[in-house]
Amino acid sequence: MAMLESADLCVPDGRGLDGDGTSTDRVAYLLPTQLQRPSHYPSEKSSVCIGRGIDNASLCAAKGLRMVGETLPSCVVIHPDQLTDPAVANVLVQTDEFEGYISPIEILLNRKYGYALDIWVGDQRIKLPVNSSVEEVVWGVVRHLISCRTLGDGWLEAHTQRLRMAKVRERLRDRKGRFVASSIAAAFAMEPSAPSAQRLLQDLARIRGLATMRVTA
Amino acid sequence: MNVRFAQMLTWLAQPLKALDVRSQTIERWLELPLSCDDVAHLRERTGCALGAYYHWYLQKMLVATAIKGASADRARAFLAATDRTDYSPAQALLDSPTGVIVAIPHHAHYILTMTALAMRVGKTRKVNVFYASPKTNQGNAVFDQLHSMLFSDPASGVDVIHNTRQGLAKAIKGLKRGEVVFIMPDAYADVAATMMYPFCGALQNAMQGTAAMARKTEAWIQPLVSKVEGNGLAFGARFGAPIEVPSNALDGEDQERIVDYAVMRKVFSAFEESMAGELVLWQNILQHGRDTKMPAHLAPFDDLTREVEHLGLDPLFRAPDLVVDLRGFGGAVTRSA
Repeated sequence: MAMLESADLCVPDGRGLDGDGTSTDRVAYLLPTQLQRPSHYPSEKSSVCIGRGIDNASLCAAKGLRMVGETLPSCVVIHPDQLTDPAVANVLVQTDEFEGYISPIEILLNRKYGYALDIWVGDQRIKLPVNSSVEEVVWGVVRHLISCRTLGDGWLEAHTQRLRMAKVRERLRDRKGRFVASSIAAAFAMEPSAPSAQRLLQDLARIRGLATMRVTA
Repeated sequence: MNVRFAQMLTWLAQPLKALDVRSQTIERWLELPLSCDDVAHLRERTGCALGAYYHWYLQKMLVATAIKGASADRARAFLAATDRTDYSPAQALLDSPTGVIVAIPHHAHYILTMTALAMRVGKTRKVNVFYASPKTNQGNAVFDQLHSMLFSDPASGVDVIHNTRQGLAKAIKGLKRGEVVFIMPDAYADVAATMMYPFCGALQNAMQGTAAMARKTEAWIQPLVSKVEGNGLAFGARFGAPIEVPSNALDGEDQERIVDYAVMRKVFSAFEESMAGELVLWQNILQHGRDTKMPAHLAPFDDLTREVEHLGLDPLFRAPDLVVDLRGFGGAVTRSA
């Protein structure tokens, strides 16, 4: 696994924003959702912004990624803190201080579409060159999300972050699963051996099992 | 505290029941921390003035004070002075050729009801009182105190079983021998192991252990609900219709789960018959129907296939696209530009 070390603008193996000659002109900026854009970052108006921007213009993750893939703009602004929905945040990350889901969008931008990443982490920034390892990109996104907490009340997406936490999703899944299991049991109380009851319960068990299947990087 | 004095205080405090104004002084005195949401929930769910809740907690406090530190004789005298229960239906517990599970919710003076009934039944039939250990539920320490005071003599015929693996094994063994087990099905240790039951206008999580235990031991279930009697500290109890548990051979866990569910639903229906209209006396009232994300009703039969299909399409149930384990990953942040 690659290690990130302190350096001026890049990771220590020499790759940098200008390092490999293929990624020099495309940068994706990872910024928190707040009322004012942090200084030293490009305006959302001059770039493709994935997520709800300061002007409240909104481009969902799928549409934004499609637009990026088609036009390869030189500058993309993305708000990872808005990507909490299970439909878009489905990469499970385990760290010592966080177990939750993030979107794969930053990985795709960096490794598929050739974007260097410039990641806001409070008063510092992490810069990752094109084709960084999956672990490096994920680590950068997690540091970004953890740094968002320092914004306190100024962080407009603080209240939505629960949905990315593994334990919260487990509880939500469990509740939905128990609701359906209870509904089936109530409906077949007089006929517990009905084949349709068995079929429904088996389908339910299979679906509940899916969420625990894991594909490891 | 003297029983008569406690009775008189309860009676004198009757006007409190009509008070529908929040009093933080009373809440402090009763050690009853309530949020604004709690107050709104209580009013909506119970249909009572807030004072009814205060009055109930006053009663609980007086009972706890009267029992705390009392001698065994004094505790027995307290029970005798406050018990108005008609025990004629309890004869079925004594006559039963099989084991019996007495299912009782955390409602009204449930501790007094359980204790008084256990004292009677224990004289002729072994009783096991099954509840979560005070190590996991501090509120249950009062059970341990009361039972060590009243039932430490083996001749009492009453034993305490904590909700552990060993406790469960002991309860099952006892039921197979024809003993009586008291259990409180409206409490659960692990919500993930519960099912949802329609109960007093909302869905209530409950474990199926009571039904499973009865099924495995050919015991039957006696629903029992403690009641407040009169305007003092007196208590009574309502015995529900006995619930027989199907003992015919079942094919697999799915069938067992459905059968156990049906039994538990009868248990909660019996509770609802006695508790509806006085939910203010229920220990779980602050949580009941509180979760706005919890459906209010089960899905009807015609919707079941669609419900299962929806889960299959729900992204929550999708396996992660990727799992990245960064534990021990030694990244470091580059300096700001």
